[in-house]
Amino acid sequence: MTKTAEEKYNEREKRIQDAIQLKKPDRIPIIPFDNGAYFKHCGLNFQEAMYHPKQYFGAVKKAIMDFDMDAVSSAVVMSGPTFDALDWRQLKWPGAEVDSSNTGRDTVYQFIEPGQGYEAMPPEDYDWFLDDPTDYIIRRHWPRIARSLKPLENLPPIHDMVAYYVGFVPYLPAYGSSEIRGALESLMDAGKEAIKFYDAHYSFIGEMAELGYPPLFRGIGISPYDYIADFLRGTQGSMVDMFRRPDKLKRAVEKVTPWVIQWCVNQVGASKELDYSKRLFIPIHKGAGGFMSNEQFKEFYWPSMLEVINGLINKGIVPYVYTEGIYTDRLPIIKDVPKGKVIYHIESDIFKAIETLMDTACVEGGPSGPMLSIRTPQEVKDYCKKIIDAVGGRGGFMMGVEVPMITDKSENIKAMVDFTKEYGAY
Amino acid sequence: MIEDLVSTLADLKEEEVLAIVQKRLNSGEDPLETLNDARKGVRIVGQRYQDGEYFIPELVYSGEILNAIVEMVKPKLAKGVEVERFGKVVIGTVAGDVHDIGKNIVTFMLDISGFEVYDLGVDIPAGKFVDKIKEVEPEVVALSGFLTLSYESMKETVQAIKDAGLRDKVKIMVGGGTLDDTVREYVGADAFGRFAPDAVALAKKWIGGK
Repeated sequence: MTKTAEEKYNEREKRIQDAIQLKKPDRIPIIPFDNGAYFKHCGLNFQEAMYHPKQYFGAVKKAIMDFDMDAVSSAVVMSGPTFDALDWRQLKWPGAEVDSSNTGRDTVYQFIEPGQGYEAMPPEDYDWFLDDPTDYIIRRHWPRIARSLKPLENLPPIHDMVAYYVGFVPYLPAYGSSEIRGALESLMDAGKEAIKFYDAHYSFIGEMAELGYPPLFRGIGISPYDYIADFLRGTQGSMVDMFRRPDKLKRAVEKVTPWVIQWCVNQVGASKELDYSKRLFIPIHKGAGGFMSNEQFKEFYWPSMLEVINGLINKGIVPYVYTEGIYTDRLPIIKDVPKGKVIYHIESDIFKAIETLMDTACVEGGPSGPMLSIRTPQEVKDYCKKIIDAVGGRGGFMMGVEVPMITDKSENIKAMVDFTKEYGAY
Repeated sequence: MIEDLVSTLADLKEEEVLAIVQKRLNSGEDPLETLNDARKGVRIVGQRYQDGEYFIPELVYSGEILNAIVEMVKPKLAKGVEVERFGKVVIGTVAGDVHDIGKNIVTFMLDISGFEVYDLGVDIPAGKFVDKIKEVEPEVVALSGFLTLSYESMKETVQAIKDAGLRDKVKIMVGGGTLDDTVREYVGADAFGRFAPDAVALAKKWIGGK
């Protein structure tokens, strides 16, 4: 008897939830994170994906069904028209109206570091940010990351606008200027494009659920340190701050921590009991091995990140912490989380992570990018076998990939999925 | 007691370092000596990084301190003074990829290790590498890339170097956090590295140097 979509949904959801709770599932869940392989599988390129959300989500749907994955786990491919409307500086993406890549080759969108193409927050701005962050974000940060919003740097401070003659009317002429009107219009245009994108996104998520595929995660978060280091100060700036102004750096990280938690809660809602279906994806970047020592990690990175992890669990949310880079030396540190309530994605030394973390947190990882892009299906299977053998029939593991999939070798993805379903069945 | 610029810089005591530099410049000492000592200090930082005692933040910070010293020393230096160089390296992140953190660290490490480094930047098409190789005739070419998609660009770049008849004149290393020997073979490079010290070790092996 064939199962209904609802039965399949519940089966997949239970499989994932068992793995998170370190219980033995019926088999190892297979939930590789996608970053282009899905739509390439359907003959779409990156530019088409960024400019035609319906086609993009249609392709992802087809790929998930073709491979028969256990969950919807694909990257937040964003909307090209939204960024075009803002003349966005923080990314490079194929098909952008300006500054597209040199290759001519269709390529994934890429983050541009502060200081590389637009100004990073200078150290002397820490005080302004700490004193009035919203003012800083609107009048200094937005003008840097979106060229269309540059005129907003001439906006008068909003906190002065408290009464008709105190600030408000005296400042209104600024809003009548053609520059600021233009900036606000570009923001509204971008908003219209974003509505189109999210409409397509939510109808895709709904459709996938009806077809029996749960989302691996329902929202996205950030580590408080990355908020500052990725987006305001940049890699170099934040590294130098550890020596020249460690207190300012820490104060800024502490400042944003409750916002980060609240932002995550806003996306998925809070509940008293932990809801294992409410998983939230948190990629973490600047705390990777090499980027700082274990001591620096413990001092600058981990305390606020742990606060986010615990804060989310207290609000009923399962943090899916997506470590990027090498965390092998940090495993004993990041192991300090409530048991059976956290998922850790691992990019480096999956075997060490299985050995160290799996009695505390659910580990997710798998074949590398080069393996999926260059090697043969048999080699992929051999590697998956090694991993499944290391897991050794226990709960607490999900088969994923080392880095989000971009490969156009569908046969390698299929080898990974089919083999895991067969060999990873308990 | 003579305050030791080399060890003070190696220990990253910025304020003390700058005070020593100022004192030495005021004393009328050859500013080139001061600069050489500063570079020695940064080389120790690089060594401590390679030994796993320091991490990238220390490396970056030492670079910032060195920049500050250069700014102080520069006005007193005779023009055209150059430090000894062992050989030349042309480096860049390949076309389609804009990741620059790893490349910048490798550039810095090679520079303080005594190599003349020509950093082309990020998202560099094959032709630009070829042009630069013709212009400066380096012993080593270093191709950086983080994205899986960069393997194609690395392969094209190596091919372009071959097509220009320059392949046997240079050693080619590829570097990036996701690379392995499969990729090295696929793109046709001589060696690969995942970490910055790998690049220095390779350059020393291929070119020589202390």
